[in-house]
Amino acid sequence: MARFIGARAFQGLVTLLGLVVLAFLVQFVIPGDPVRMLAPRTPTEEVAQRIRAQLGLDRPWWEQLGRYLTRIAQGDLGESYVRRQPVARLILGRLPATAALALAGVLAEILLGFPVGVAMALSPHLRRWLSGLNLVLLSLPTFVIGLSLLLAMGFWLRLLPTTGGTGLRELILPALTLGLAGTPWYAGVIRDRLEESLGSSYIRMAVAKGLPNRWILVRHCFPHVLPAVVTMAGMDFSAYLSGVVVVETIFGWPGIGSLAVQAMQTLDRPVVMGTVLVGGAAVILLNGVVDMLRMFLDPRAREGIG
Amino acid sequence: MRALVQVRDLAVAYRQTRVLEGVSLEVRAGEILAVVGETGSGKTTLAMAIARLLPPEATVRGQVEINGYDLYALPAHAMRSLRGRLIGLVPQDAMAALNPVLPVGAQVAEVFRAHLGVSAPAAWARAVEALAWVQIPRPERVASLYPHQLSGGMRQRAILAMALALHPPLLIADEPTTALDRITQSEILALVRRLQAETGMSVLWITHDMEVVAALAHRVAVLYAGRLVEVGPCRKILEASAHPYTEALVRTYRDLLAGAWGEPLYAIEGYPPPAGHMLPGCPFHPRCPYAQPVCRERFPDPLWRGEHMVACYFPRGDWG
Amino acid sequence: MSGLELPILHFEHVTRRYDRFIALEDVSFVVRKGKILGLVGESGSGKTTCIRLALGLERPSAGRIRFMGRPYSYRSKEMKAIRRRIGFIFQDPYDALDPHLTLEEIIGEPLRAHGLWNVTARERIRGLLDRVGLPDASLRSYPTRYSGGGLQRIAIARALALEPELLLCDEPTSNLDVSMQAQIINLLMELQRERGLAMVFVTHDLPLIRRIADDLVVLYAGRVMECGPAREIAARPRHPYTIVLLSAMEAKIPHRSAWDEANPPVSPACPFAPRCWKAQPQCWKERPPRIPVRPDWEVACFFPEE
Repeated sequence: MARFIGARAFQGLVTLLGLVVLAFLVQFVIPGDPVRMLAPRTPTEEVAQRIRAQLGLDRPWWEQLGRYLTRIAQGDLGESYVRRQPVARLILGRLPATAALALAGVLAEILLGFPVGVAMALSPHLRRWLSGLNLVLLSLPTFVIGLSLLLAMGFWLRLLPTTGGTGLRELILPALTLGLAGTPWYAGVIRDRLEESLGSSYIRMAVAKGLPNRWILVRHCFPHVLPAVVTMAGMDFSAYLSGVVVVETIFGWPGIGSLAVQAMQTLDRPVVMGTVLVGGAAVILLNGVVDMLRMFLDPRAREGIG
Repeated sequence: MRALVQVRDLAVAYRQTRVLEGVSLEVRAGEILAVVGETGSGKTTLAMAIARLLPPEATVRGQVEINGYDLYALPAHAMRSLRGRLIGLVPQDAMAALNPVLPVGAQVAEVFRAHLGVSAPAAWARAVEALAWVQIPRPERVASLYPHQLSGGMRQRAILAMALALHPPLLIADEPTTALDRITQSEILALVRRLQAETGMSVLWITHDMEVVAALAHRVAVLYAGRLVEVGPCRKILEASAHPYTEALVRTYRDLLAGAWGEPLYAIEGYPPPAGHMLPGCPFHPRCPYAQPVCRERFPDPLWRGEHMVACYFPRGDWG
Repeated sequence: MSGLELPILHFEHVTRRYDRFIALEDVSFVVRKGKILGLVGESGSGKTTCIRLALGLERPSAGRIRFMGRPYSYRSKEMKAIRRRIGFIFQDPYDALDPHLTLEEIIGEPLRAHGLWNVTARERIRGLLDRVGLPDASLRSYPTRYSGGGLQRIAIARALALEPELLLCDEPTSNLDVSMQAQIINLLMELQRERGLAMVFVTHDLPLIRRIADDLVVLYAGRVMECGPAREIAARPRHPYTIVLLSAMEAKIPHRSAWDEANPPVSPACPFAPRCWKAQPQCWKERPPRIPVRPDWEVACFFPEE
């Protein structure tokens, strides 16, 4: 087990390094000059040169990359050009809100998708209605779902706040938006896995043993469904951790997503790189966690690395 | 002998495809009845129909009565409480029939928990006993193992423990030894014979293998293309078969063992009709060397001689 | 064996390992021209590995394989030339034939693959179908129209399309019904005789192979238990395992049940010792020697039947 974790950690670090290098290089391809974004008016060539030298942008790209890598190896993510604050502090300030939304969003997806998927697998009657509903949800862009919820719950029914903020009540609508957008995917996967399981020989054996239906569903079918749900949830969670721009914008939720977008618009390279790094690390870490969870769920996989 | 299972004029179809037609059969108390047939003969369908485990799209006509219960007239909850208690099932592929994510002990124990409402530790203790009963060595250790950690023979024993946990009077086994090697196969057959003698249960054993029939069965029922063509005591079927199909089947088996090197094998020519394709008349007539025009017209009525039934216009041996 | 003629296929002390698992260990045999070699063993005995090795799909971990005297080089060009002279038939005809191809495409495939498709090809395919007992089959029909027996005939036609010198049959009848088995075996025997084919017939059915094979190799857990002339072995088997394979199930097979649940033990000495009724302490400790019964007949057992 320790060997497995070690190997995965090494693999993850290499991936992360590749990601950082790639993201760093892409910035040189993107047109635009950070210096012009920083200076209040169009700067004179002399001023621009000074700022460039100050930020180290006058060096060749490999030197810049080398410096950046050395710094992040020491745990320093640099300082924002625009906000004049350490990037690490900027991101850390946003992280709790982002994590809260990501977690709530994934929970909402599972809580909505699971019953829908189970109902679709078990009842041919309900299936028709629910697949219609899924199709509607699939075809709606996230911002439409978000805005409709905002209108319905916030403005008409006045049940929930519309002004933005980081409280629990403010969390409900954005999480629900993510949940509704994810429901068709979860429901589909859960339905497929459940149907596969229901048609299997061990389910027929369970029926032949005279077990109650609910018992069969919970003890024999769900373990077959769970790994797929864990995988999807892990992927979503890590994706949401690197920011959900649209939802954050609609509900005024101060997460990493909006930070990243602002940084990109202002060509604030250290912040862009910081969000890439944190997002990438989240994806890689959660991937490892998901794999271990799946192993825990399946005794056959457990053995392979034991 | 009393009949434990009484099948009357059973017909099973999947939409337009008729898989079984006019099957009447009894399984007597305390006997091992082998149902012999090839792929598409409907033998698995017959087993599943007797266990009332056919998929919902199957339409069933006729009657299956087990121990006085008219199976297809029972409400679902009553049927459920009879499963495991009245009928134990051993399916074909033991690996697929075990849930890969649950220890085998738990899969045996849940039978006791669901039917007898005993506590989890008590059910586990009884599961260990059940595993010991089917001759699994060190059952307390095996109980906590997962199916993939067991050998094929052990899995088949674990399934037997599950099926027989509540000592049902009827065991239905669908070719359970086909995938096993020869030694394990003979061990499982010996075990089933022993358990049957010990409990006096009835066994319905589905197979295509005449060798297994010879080693196990008291009586034999022969299915061909969805029709029951012959039923009788095992000795009669093997030594004085009356139906031309049975005769050919037995001869294939005997010839393989007895024939000389280099001689061509005895073969039944032609192909069986594709599954669900019910011919008018006797389904074997296209391959039958004794077929007459009448065989093409109507399926023959069963002829009886004591214990021995044959559905043929021109039965073989001393019937004519 | 007549030492003068060059054997078609020659396994010389072939071992095949997968990580720690040994699928075949020190297996030697020859396939003589125009003769049938029966390769008998049950699941896990390594017989399918033998076929894969013979086709060059895998390489031996140790030892050597020769075709017509030349050792396999595993260079793709030479292997292609060897495979052209080897036909093969697999166990599951449903799996081995692509349901989306017509009979012409299936049987013509080897011809096209080796660049031998020409004006007479279609006629040749027609002739092959006639020969394997499908004279009414349309070249444009699909295999889905056929059941197991018919499919295996198509597979035989394909195997013979290149007029091979060696035919490898991996349990060609074990998925077929009793009434089909004999038909297919008889067909294979006729073809073998009229074309002077050398044949490797893999099976777990010793009573069957007894009827058709010239030479016999009995495998257990990747090792040769007994090998020699088929008829003589069948008449008087020397190895306890061969006796088990030949004894009828009605007469209780002699055995000793000393298996362990998790892993059926394969002792470093005789792999059959745990299930052998003749086993002595020696059998668990030392590797049994290969005792020659006759110059062309060997048995790997300390206590062979007299």
